[in-house]
Amino acid sequence: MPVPPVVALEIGSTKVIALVGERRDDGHIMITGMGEGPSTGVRKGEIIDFDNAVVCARSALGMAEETAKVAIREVYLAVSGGHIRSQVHRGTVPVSGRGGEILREDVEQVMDVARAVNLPADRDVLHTICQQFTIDDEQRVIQPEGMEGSRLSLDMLVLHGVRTRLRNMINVAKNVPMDIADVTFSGLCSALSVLTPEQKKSGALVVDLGGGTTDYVAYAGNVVALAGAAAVGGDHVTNDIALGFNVPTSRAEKVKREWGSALPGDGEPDKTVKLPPEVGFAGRTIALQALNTVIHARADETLGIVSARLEEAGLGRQFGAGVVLTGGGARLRGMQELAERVFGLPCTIGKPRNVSGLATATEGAEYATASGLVQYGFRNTAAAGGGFWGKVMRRLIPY
Amino acid sequence: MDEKKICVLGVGGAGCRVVAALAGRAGKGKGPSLAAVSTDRRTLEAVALAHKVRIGQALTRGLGAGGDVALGRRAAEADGELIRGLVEGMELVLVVAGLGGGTGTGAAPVILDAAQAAGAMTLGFVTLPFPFEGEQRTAAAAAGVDALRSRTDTLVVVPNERLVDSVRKTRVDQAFTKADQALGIGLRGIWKLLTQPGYLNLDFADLRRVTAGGTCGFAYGEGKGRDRAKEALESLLKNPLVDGGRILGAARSLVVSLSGGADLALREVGEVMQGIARAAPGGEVVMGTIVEPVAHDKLTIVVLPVSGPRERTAAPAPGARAAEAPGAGQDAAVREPGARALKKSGGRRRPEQTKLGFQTTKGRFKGIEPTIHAGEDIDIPTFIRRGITIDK
Repeated sequence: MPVPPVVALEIGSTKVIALVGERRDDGHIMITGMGEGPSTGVRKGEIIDFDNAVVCARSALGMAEETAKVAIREVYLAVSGGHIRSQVHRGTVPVSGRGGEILREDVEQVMDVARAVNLPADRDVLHTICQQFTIDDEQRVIQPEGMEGSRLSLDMLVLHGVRTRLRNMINVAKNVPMDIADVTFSGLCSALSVLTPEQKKSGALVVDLGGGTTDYVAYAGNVVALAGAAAVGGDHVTNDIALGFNVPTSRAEKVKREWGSALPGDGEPDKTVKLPPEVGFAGRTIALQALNTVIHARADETLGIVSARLEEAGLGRQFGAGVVLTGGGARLRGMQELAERVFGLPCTIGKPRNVSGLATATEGAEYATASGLVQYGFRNTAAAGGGFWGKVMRRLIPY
Repeated sequence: MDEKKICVLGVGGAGCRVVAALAGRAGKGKGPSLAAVSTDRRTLEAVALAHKVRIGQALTRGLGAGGDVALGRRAAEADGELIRGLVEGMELVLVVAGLGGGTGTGAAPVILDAAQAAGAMTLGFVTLPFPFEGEQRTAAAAAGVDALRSRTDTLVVVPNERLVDSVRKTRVDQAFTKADQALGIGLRGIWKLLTQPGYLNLDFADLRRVTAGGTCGFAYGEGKGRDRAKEALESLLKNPLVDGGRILGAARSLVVSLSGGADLALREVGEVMQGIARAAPGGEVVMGTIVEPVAHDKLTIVVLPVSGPRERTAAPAPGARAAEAPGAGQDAAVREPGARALKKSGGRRRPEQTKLGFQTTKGRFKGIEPTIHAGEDIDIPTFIRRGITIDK
């Protein structure tokens, strides 16, 4: 029986993207349809204008339906926002098998215990991700079933967010109207999309520089060690330019993309950029150095926030594969070098992998989340039948 | 100026060490009040000063700020009362700090704000890290200088690198010790200038006038015996701090402090000034002398070369006024750089304070729940919060 297509929906702060993906017999994923449009009801990753957001989502999904020539009923939804955080919770159970043999029931039980984390009343769990099992507090294992010991522990990374904010995003999608197959943290999707297995094994920090939020996922020791988002992104860079030089937001965005650099010394010292007049704007000339100084301050601070979160979590430098930048903000000139300075690690730009099809959707760093979400959707479908993977990524939000 | 109305505050590890070294040379009971301010319990234990102030105890629990500028700032803000007590009633506050780390860079602006609010004149004496200390510290130090510019009447900036004759041949611990010693000489030269009697006096108003809008460097030379004037001049010109005399030549003005014993002759003063004028033709030279019995037979020259102000062309866009304390909260008052009324020389004056309408500086994020990080509303442009002026 053919696997049904997966539709990924990302309602970002700058744009809404809907991707339709199909899986071929050889397992390869093709993007067969895409819808994209500006997003006007979202800021910093969160819904600020419900009706507008619904209209934008509906429009993008309509376009995707047309290009893919399928009727879309159900979507996988990506969410982000400054309220999303992770914490590690350890659960421990005594081994019940005779002679100390670890049984399947022990594994299932320790998973339940590890998942039972005490969150503040206003928060819901988004994901629970198994990190590693430990036997008798000393032996780390991947699959403990059948091994011997007296105590079995499991470290679980719990990703959580504020219930009302998550619900807002879910309700926008529901009002299109759409059914929700699953809700995923966009940072995880980006990591899924851009990282190679080798990078995960060596340890890597993925930083998705979006318009409204900056999402980060850290792999250390081949497990997800930290994940979260900061409510600051490319829109803040644009806003800083608009306010600093007194130009409209749209022009600020343009000049950022055309001329901007995250490195303050970049560009000739006396170069100026002319912004021609338009309706409501008299036009002006900006010194390139000044522009880049403003951009640099914001970019430096934003990356610094991620760096601070890493330090707080005690993760420091254990990333053999360094930092992988993705998202629209990775296109900013000089961002790679700035990231190397801020994190003190080598830095590469990550692009979507493992999908083919519509060129735009598969090549730009700004499609990392949506393209990763399509892949996530197929994994989830495969897992719906149960099995170890299904239990690992079981969803917990009822909708 | 009444010595009792001057205080010298060492902020952070480097600042505390330098001020402690200053105390050693000054002799007991004399001189302005000295204090060491730090988050790090061990730093304070290690300095031989009577007056020690630990800030941010609740935040750092007696540990240092660990290179975290925001933490240094928060520590100072948390102990605002203590800091106000330090500067209350003062006419001149000198803040000494090594920039690049956490406490010096983060707390110094907060302390200077308090000093200005108390009506004192302010002088900053700061160092920039050695290149080997790494890019992060260098960048933090540069941002620190920006934040201090608008908060000081006179700012002396000394790159550590220039304090040591040959960095390559010097051991790391020696490098820092040598740096501290040299800074001690410079600091002493400045505050003695403002407080001790001599033949030619210089007061803080002169200092401020000559240094206004610019940044000061620092250099010194020492001589002994009969040819001390010549020796001191040579030693000054050979000092790496003047980069072969180039820094003197490039300065727009020079503040010179000459100190010697009771046997200091006017002839010698003349000789030194001629030598300096030769090295810096066309620069305005302002000089003061200090006579101290204890300096018998010695001659010390301390020079502050002032380099031109940063170019400011058009006024900043409305709502984008600079000079905010890095990390100030939404309701903090903001000082407009240069908008201060100067009254009589040596007297108190209050800076004009304007309240910045924060709603206008949020643009796209106006009316939306702010993103707060480390106590700041980061929806406000970063360059504004870091006090960076932009040339347009």
